[in-house]
Amino acid sequence: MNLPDILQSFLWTAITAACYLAGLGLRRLARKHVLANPALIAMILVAILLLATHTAYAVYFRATWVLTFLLAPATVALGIPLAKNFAHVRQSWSGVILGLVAGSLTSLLSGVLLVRWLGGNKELALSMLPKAVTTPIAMSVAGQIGGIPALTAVLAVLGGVMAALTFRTVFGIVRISHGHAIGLAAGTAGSGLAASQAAELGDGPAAFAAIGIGLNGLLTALVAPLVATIFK
Amino acid sequence: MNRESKTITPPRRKPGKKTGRRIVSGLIGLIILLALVFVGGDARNALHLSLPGPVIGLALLAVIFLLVKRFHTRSHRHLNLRVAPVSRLLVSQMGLLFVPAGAGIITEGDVLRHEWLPIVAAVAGSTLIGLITTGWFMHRFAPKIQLEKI
Repeated sequence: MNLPDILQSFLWTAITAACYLAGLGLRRLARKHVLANPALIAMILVAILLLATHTAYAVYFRATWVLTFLLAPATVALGIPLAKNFAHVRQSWSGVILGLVAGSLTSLLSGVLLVRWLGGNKELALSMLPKAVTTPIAMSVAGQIGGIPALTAVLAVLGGVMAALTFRTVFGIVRISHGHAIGLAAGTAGSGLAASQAAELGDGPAAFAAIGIGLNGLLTALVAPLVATIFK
Repeated sequence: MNRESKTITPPRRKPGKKTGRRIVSGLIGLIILLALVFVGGDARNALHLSLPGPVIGLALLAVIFLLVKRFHTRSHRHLNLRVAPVSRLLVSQMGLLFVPAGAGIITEGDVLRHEWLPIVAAVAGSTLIGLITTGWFMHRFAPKIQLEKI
């Protein structure tokens, strides 16, 4: 396409927004089912449009810079729910810290080890490493340690969907009925997607899920580069 | 998330008249968030940290928010009024912001085709392991007073 840059930016940003709105509509139709994730639907629709119009991905990515640019302030904004719910940590700090560190490390290591064990290459392993945390942090960590950010984005959404779909059943099987533990686990292992499901269990789980997202984002960003150097 | 956002929402005002003021305070909030992005990036370069700049900004925002809440109620009210609404908007619609990056998956078709098994197994396995480990430790070591049923 030979459209002027500004027009092209406007066009692709508007198309992306429209795809996302379509995703939101589909989610409403599916009665907020986790599988109907608006971001995932929008990614698929955009991918189809790019392939159908023979647009190079680099052109599209440059045109939609506004959205990518806003990811950074959106990541900073996660500090607000973390701060607002931080008072809860004081009541049960030992459980929160132990749960967070153990859960974060096991999910980091098990992801990498499973990929390597099943014959995946190093790049895939490094993209898998930060996938449990909220997508924007996962992506910037992946870029830093030599993974593929786009792959990590998809893995993070898939992991979130997986956690959101299964966490009630899983905690039923292992007999954990502690609402705060379930909230923290959902936020730590499944980020925003599982957290929003956990929030439906009540204010306590919602608060601990928000804490899980924020603190695991920080912890993974700190630890992932170290783990990555071990596997290099 | 939904429940939490309901509790933070300020009392409903008449639409229209104060919309302009809300947009202005939202923009100020966005500028504060962007300033923290850049401060985070500078801190990262200056201190040679491995944390991404926005993550440092996240930690700074949370610390500042908690400090002013504790020591300076008036600044806390100002900060809350300007940063909280725009933060809620950005966090709740974050999905839109990573669509362009995620659509980059079309350039990774080969990886998906050849390595779907490790991808599916590792995502499923490590997510379940992370869930159970976190839940078990929290269940074991947090005070048992506030037991809640699912």
